[in-house]
Amino acid sequence: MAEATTQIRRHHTWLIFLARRIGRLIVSLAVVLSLSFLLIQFIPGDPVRLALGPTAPASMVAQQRAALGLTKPLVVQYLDYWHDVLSGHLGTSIVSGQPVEQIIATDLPETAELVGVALVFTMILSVSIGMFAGALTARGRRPRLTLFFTSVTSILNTIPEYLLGVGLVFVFAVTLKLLPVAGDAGWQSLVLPALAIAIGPTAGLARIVRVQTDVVLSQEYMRVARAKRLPTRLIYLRHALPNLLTAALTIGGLLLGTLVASSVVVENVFARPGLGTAIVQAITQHDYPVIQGILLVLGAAVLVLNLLVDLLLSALDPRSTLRES
Amino acid sequence: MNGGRLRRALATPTGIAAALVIVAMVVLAIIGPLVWGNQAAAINVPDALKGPSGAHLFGTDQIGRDIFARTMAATRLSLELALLSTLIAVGIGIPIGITQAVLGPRLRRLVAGVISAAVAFPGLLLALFVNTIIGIGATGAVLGIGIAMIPGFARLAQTLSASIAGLDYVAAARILGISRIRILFFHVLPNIAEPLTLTGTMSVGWSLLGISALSFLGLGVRPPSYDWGALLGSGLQYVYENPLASLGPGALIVLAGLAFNLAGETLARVQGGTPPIARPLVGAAGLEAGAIGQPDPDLVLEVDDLTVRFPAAAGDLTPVRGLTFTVRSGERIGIVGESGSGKSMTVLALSQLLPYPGRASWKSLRYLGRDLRSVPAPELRRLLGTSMALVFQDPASSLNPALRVGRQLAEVVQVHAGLRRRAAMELAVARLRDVHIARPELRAQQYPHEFSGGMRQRAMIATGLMGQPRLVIADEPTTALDVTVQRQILLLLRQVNEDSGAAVVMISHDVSVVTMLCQRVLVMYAGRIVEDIGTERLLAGPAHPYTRALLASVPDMSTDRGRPLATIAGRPPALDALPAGCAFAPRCPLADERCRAADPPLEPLDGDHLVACWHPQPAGRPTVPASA
Amino acid sequence: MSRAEGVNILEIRGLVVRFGTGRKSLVAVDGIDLDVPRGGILGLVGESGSGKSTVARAVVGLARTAGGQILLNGTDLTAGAAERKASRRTVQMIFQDPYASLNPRMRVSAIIAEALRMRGTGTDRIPGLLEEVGLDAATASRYPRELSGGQRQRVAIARALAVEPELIIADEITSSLDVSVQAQVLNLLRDIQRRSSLSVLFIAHNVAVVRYLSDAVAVMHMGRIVEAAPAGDFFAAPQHPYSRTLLDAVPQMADVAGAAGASAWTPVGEPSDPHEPPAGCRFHPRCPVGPAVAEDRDICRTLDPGADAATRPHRAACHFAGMLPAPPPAAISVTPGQER
Repeated sequence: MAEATTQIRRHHTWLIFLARRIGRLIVSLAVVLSLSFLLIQFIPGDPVRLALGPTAPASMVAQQRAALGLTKPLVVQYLDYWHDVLSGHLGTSIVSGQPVEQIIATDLPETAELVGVALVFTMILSVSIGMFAGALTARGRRPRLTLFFTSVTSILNTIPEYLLGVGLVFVFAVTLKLLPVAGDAGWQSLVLPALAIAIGPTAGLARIVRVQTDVVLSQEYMRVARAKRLPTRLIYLRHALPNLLTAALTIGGLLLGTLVASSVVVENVFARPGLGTAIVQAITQHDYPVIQGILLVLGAAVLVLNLLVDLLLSALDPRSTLRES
Repeated sequence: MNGGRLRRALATPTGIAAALVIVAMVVLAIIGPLVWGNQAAAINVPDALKGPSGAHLFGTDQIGRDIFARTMAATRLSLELALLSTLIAVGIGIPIGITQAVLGPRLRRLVAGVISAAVAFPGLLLALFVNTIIGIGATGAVLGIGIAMIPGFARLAQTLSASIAGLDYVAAARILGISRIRILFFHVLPNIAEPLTLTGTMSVGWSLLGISALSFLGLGVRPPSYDWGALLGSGLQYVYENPLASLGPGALIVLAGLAFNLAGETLARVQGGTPPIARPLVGAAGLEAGAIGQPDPDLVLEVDDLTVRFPAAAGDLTPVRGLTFTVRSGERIGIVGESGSGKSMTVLALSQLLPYPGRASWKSLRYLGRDLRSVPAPELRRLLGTSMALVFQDPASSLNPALRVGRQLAEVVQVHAGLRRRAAMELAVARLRDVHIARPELRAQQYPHEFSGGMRQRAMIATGLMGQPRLVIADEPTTALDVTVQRQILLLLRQVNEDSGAAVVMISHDVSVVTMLCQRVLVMYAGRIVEDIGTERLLAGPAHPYTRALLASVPDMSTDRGRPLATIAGRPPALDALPAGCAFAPRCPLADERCRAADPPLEPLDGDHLVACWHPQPAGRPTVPASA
Repeated sequence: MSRAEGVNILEIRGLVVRFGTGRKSLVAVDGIDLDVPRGGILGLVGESGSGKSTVARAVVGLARTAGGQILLNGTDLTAGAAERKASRRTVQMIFQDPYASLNPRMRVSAIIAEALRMRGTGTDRIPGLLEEVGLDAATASRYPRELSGGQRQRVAIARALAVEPELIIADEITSSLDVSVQAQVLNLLRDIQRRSSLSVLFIAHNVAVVRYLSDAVAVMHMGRIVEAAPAGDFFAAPQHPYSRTLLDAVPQMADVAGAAGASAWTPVGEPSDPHEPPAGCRFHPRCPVGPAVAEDRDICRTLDPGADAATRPHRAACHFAGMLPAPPPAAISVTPGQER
């Protein structure tokens, strides 16, 4: 009887947890949406004039203002914006006249592909390298290796992705002529940009995983595992790794935002079509609806992905189903 | 910041390197435009797009300007902007985070929620948002990056001040009636200043990288101004002809970023932590295990002159100094000592689990008649894994939180006895039942956090029972448990001892607990055994003054309430400041010149009662009055 | 505020303290009554999770109460901020962890001066206070990190004494100290208490220490007081089964290995979940003479014995108080003539 109620209570708690997180997500999305709406409102001066340039005729400016709905009262504009976004209309580009959602629909998959590849690369490589290094250098062993590891990862982590991109371009495409430099031609053109995005975070995360491995290995239950005289492989894979993963995934989740941001920059280095090139172009051209749309989509994507990571983490950690974050 | 820490940081190689680079950068920032300003602006179209040469270290750009000169001159703007945006982030973020401590609970939760959401949001997107509003240019970039870093600082300040606010000394201040503002300024702030300064230092590096990124994209510093990012961006256009045009400024970005990060990390690392460990102890492998005499089949454990050494910069620490004792089959012995007596290190040394860089050495260490060093590794693993059971102090951390309890028991026999999974689990369930855990089939499928403290400790004992235990070593097994649970565990250990014939070695700081379970007691002080005595005789009146004082100072249910408790003056000696002669002499009312000069050996006083003292007290004599 | 010179300096009535809200809530203190005699020591004993530390925090205002009264010299501290403020100097607390109770960035002199300032007295009292707690004057210029655990506790005591309180709450003040140091601190507390006729609420899980110090004893279990009596009466004949299990579990030197086995007073089963306390008597699932063991004790499952505890000996919250077999004579003793 008691077990049944415990099971029910456990499910119940999990559902409440889920509901709360989704509630929070919705609130955050609403904030992002509102901020993106307010973007145009905050612009000092006349946004349309800025976009069309000083030489455009006044009638065109007025026409655009009306098209953007800027003449209506603020509250109406806000509600209209909500309505539009929820029905999938993200506005029209001032510069090209194209619907923003179309621009995003073409560019989003490219960016998603890039970020996805970079993420997988980062997680797999950083966890394995970090854990390996952690096992070798736990508790102050091999101090020279620790120094080497920390130096290399520090340097790699500090090199900005655009510089890495430029360097990679130079080495692989120009000097060695191995891989394409720009544009989008199948999987080969994914390699260099993904590397440029991923190398820094991989180094940073590997450092953290190394330290975390050291922490986990010093835990009492690891001592108990050694006291059981289990084979080394079992000790690391079955006892240490699950406890490491929680920390690694948490940081990995935080990295998501960084990876998305990096992709914005790297796409410009490699002239890859994607949300990154689109938004930089839009900012340069003062094409506000496009900026709004892309910020909204990117922001929402990051928030949703963060929620998924949180849910994954709580599913993995046996303790958290009973805990409210 | 604590001057000591700064000094210590500057003593490390990374600290020196970081400091040098930062100083160089600052100097460069000041003199850069003065020295190279003109050269940087000098247009010379015929010289355009030349590669690196003696005259132009980094080559020239599209209109013939010297890129090296421009890079040097750009130092000032790059650093200024980075500093400015850091100040914005610090100046706004930290106050927001700190004021959490003085807000009411509901407001605090709201602000905390906003900060959490903002932190998850990628900074660059926030920066782009601000940049768009303010307009392309240096101002937009600085404000963008600065505002983007505010949530991070707010969150850090909030977490730090919350953790301080929960400490007892803040509670004490509140009880005294000190105002919240005063608490904030005198108690919270001084204790969070250091981590905040560290992060501030590192964020100068992050700001630099961020602003350079924006300038690189053309959204930051605009012509005619230029920072490193802008140079990198414009250099990208002709990277094939002259890579140094972009890699040059890029290298400086990396260098500056690294220097600030390194500075912050070095400062963090020298936080009065563990003393750096010098070279590992050379040639410390135990004195040759020459079997002196034949092993006694009745002895489970024979220890002769066990010593544990930890290398340290200021001289090795020896928490265990020359221990000698035996454990007979089926015997229950206790090891008693206060903190610093070396009892826990003894356990680790005996079970071959000493943490790096500790090294154990001995004249003889025989387990079940076999010298531990002469047993080949795989056999040793199986031997120890199945016959030596270990129970540690904190049941909350002894079980792996990520694995089910049954699994953690079953793996012992899966690995050492080759049992299949199902058979192993059945055995695990049986053992859980043996230690009186109700509904063991259900419990075996649960995770450790679903067990109470007492249950976890019983599960640990059950783990030891999976094999054929000959020796159970329990290190403070009941210290973390409630007193009613404590009794259960002691009775269980007793039962295990009687049912399986395994010897029990129990370590504790609590003499009365030890006397409840054990037949013989070893009293440790400062790494040595000072008395080896049977429990009955112990209760009648031990011989060593320390043991007597220890017994006298612990209140029990028959302590005379009318008199002050007996105390032992002074404190146990620090491991790195052991006196010559008897370690207890400074605190012993009977100490004389001989005691201070020479360390008494552990010798038989009467039969198997051993004492290490020049003035052992005969049994039955009234307790030597210790100072109150 | 006029001081009522009552028999008790502190009277707690029906105190309730709740943590968390809704589904997650835990009632840490569930309607307790407690009296601390003026000029005497009340020992509050209980195991982990009993709520005893929460009681302490509620008295000094660190925990919000959800019901009940805390009467300090007749003034109800739960009534409002003004009452609480006026009581600031009357009650002080000493904490368990000597490493967390002193601000690491303040010298000892600053720590004590801060307290003296709240009283309105100058720093010339510092040397006297240090001497009173057995520290020499040079300690004033040291930082906490230079002091040992025992010395830090003494500084904490000095800080508490600086405002000349009438009531001191000592929350597990020796649990984190080495055995030999523990005796020193306990002696100190005893001396100070006798010299200044301080009242002390002494909270501990170590029954032997409580027996040594206290004039009156209260036993707490799962947020409730299950027994309260003068120390002599309590230790001579405890009335509540839980008290019996506590006393029985105390390791005793006379209990030579080989003699004791499982005793009649070992609790049954596993500890209950504090989030879902049992109905009726909270101890009933574990009571060695309760419904889990005896047939005719169903009432323990349904009726809360706390309701009419006041009518029973030692205010024991047990339906069968007064009907427990007398404890064996050798087990527990109080030297006659030492009772107060």
